[in-house]
Amino acid sequence: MDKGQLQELIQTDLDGELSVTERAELARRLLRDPAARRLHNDFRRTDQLLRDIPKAEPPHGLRAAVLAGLAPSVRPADPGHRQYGWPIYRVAAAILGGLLIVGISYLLLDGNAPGADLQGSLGAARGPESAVPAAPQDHLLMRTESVEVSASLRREGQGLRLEINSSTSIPCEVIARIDPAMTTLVGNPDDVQLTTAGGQVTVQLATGSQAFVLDFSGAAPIHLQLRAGGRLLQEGRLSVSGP
Amino acid sequence: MSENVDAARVRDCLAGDPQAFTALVEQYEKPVYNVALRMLRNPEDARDIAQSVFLKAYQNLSNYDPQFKFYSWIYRMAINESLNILRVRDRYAGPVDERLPEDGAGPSELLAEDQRRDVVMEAVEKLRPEHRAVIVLRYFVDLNYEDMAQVLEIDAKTVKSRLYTARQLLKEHLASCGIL
Repeated sequence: MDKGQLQELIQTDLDGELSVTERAELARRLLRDPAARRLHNDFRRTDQLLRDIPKAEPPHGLRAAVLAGLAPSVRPADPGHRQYGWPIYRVAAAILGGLLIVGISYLLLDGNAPGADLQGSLGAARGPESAVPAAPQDHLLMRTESVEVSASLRREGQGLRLEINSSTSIPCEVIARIDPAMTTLVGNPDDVQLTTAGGQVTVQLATGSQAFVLDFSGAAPIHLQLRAGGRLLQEGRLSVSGP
Repeated sequence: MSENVDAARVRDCLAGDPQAFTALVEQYEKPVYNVALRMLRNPEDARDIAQSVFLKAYQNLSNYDPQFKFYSWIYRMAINESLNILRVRDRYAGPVDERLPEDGAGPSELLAEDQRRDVVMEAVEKLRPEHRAVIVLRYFVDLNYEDMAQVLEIDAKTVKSRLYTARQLLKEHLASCGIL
């Protein structure tokens, strides 16, 4: 038996996969060969050192994050249900959506259509403001598998109004970065968990859906970040031109 | 956990029982995290991989073939995702496989236990990914040759050969550090 074969025998022994014959062969070799015993000892020690490394505990919240990420929209496709389940809903939704779009287009574009009165009444309901062009707006959509945040920024008088709609299955935060020399947060909405520090306004988003408004004075652009567990998920910039 | 229990949970989940998948996550959260952590040695990456593995498993549950072990299936995902990250980052500069042994760092009795663990883990980290994978599967999720072969989609003979090479390299490295 050469050294290579001896090493193989020793390692197979460590893995508990030696046959009775091989085990006896190894025992005989170890008895009569001090070098083989040293080699065997070194491999056993290496094996033990590897076994001594403790198995790490997963970070707190991993399981919750995994389960929160399994939204109904990503549910497993069962071949038995797939053919008859989702497609029916999808087809129905597509037909309804199509009908809705056609109907609204018909009402809005054809002044002689039976719904023209409805168009008029909607216009009237908007009041005199509807006659003036809409204020400039900028939109940003940040979306991951677990979070969707839609933000729109528009000019409101001399200031800026940032409207945020969120839907999340994991706790996360939206951070608005502003230039504190040019822009400041005005007021503090009651219904959101908000902290401010320097040029940073941080809003904690609880799981579920949420909508809130932040008012700023000034005109500088706002840089938005979406973060979860300290990690940056998405970011973007919102700005509107002057009045 | 017996394979039959896992297969039954997969079946229940596909039949619409969400608790069945929760049970699978509870069962395999720790080993999947450990596979990724020991492959990458970065807790943040390991966490991301664990999340991604379970999400992919959930989305592709109908593709799972119950004639194979469920854990082989998800460990394979964890290993493959880890290897993808390693490929992108090319983080394994100077693997032990290609390096001459370092000068000895001193006798083993001078090294505290946690220092020894660090040296061992550093040595594992420096192995080539294919060698690291067999060490991780053998020592951190306790798989035998046959299971490792299934996870890595190679034959058991190749598993054995990689494991021997990896252990030989580690032995030499630890000896050079004065740990053996």
